[in-house]
Amino acid sequence: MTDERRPPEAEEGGAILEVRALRKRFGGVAAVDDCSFRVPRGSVTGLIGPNGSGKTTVFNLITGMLRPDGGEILLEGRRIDGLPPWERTWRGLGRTFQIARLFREMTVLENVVVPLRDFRLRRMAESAVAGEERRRAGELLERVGLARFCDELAGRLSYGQQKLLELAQALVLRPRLVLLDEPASGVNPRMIERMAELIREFHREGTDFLVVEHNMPLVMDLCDHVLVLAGGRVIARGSPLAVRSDPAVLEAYLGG
Amino acid sequence: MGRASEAGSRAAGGGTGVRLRHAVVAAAAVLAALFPLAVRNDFFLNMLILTCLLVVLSSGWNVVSGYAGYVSLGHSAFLGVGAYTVALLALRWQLSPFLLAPLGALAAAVLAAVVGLVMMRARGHAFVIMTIAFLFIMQLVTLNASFTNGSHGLTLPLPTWSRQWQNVPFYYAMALLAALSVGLSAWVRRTKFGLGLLAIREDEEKAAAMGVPTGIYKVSAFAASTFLVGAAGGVYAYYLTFIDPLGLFNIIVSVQTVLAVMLGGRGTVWGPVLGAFVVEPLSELANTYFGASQVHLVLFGALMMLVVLFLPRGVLPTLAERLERRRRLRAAAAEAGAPVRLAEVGEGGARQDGREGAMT
Repeated sequence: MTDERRPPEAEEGGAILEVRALRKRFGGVAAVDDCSFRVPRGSVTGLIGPNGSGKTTVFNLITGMLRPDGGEILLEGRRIDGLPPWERTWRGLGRTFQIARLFREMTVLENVVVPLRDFRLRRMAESAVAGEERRRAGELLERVGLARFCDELAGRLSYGQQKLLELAQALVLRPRLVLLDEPASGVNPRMIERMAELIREFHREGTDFLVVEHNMPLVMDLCDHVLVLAGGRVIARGSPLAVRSDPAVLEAYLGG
Repeated sequence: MGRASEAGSRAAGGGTGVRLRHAVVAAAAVLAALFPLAVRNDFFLNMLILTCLLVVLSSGWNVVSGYAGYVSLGHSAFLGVGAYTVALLALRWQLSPFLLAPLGALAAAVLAAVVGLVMMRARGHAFVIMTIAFLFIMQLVTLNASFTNGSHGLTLPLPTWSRQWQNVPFYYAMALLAALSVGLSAWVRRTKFGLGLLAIREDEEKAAAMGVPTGIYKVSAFAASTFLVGAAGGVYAYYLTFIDPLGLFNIIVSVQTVLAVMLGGRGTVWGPVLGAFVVEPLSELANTYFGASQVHLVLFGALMMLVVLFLPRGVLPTLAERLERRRRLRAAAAEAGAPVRLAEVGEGGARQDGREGAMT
């Protein structure tokens, strides 16, 4: 953890993402219940909490895969709840999934160049693998170490490689904020190391991250700000060190 | 997958493979153009016209069902819509159905876009069932509406050209539409749009999250897949000179379409063409040898079963995979028997990920 990098009074500075009073019920269960938080601009923010605390649901609400029952979501100060997922992506959001989701029957390169940057009919007719996206995809695949597998089917990659490919996919449109859902789950320690390095590198280049992760040493190492979710709401926030000794957090993790 | 042809060209050595493919396509085009002039045989000409019709249907179907993965069993409805649009307008305006075929295309595509907006909110089996329902609703509407002349059907104007040309103009019209269909399918596959459709087939939620506007893509795919089918419906109606709801809004035509694509290879450009050239002649031969019985239906059923059991991915992808595997083996042998499993050639840190991933 590098203290110099943490903006002083992160909460006071601009928020890249702001969630206000977000609510989502599944039948009788309030998965996300009056949840409010800010992701400070220029941060790597951790979103932690016990199993079932609503972390992935929050991700799904932010990216538009689920519709909230109430509340507001603002990306760089503009409302995005109401927009379909692809428009949120065009506004500067990216995400990865807890279990890597790829287009398995498409090549590694095709997996990265697939999205549009915005919608114009003319863009739909452009050549699939060409132009700016081709260059950007090549550069990203080079950096995550998959360049030599460009023409392989994504389904043939090992699981760790699939996670790296998903990171490249999330970054292709140069998002302002990327949501990572357990980037270290199911991969070996060396790959976790590698993933952390990559996240730091891309962060230095101006992409902020909101990370759901159960691997606490990684969270402590990577994040300069941590949000703790329990029962669908944020119960603590602050620096990793402060959060770790917060009694409410210990209660949530051990008391249940 | 369009990968099939790519893998094929790679196996044949990149540039030469592409050139070879172009040469084969050009030769086929010349053959197709000369055929009716060289062979004056009504049986074969009829078979070819119907084969071209099936190429239009299966190449179109492949765009929405092969690329985007939305399986439609109601595709023949758009053949009917094109046929009825062109027939009604030809009778009203006293114009040649050939000239009106583009309007048949437009009617089919617009209708597809409208019903697509509703139906494509559902996925998988639900979508399949809705497309079947759509086909039968269209059949019921044409059976009962007064302007379609109900079950009496419609008789189109007779061809005006000299009788010595017989069905040759129909052949050229249908062959042109077949070529356009293959061209459209190949073009879609090469574009950003086509890649987005494949992504939708693989994982629609993920595609949307990555920045693929899935709604517009799906509806566009449905419209694109029916546009030339509508035009073919117009030409087909003119060829038949008499159309009725049961013949045009016919689920057997849909089934034939699906069978052709499954046989040739779903999601490939040339699979639907290959499939059409097998299925239609087979059906024609069955009709010839077994009379007007329903034996060809049994034949379709058996063929479908064989394809699903032994060639689940279709002929072309299976062939491409074989070639690819052989190429890999040869490459591996050239590297003195080095292992070719991807995870093993990967980064040192990635070596055991496959196994770990399997356990989590």
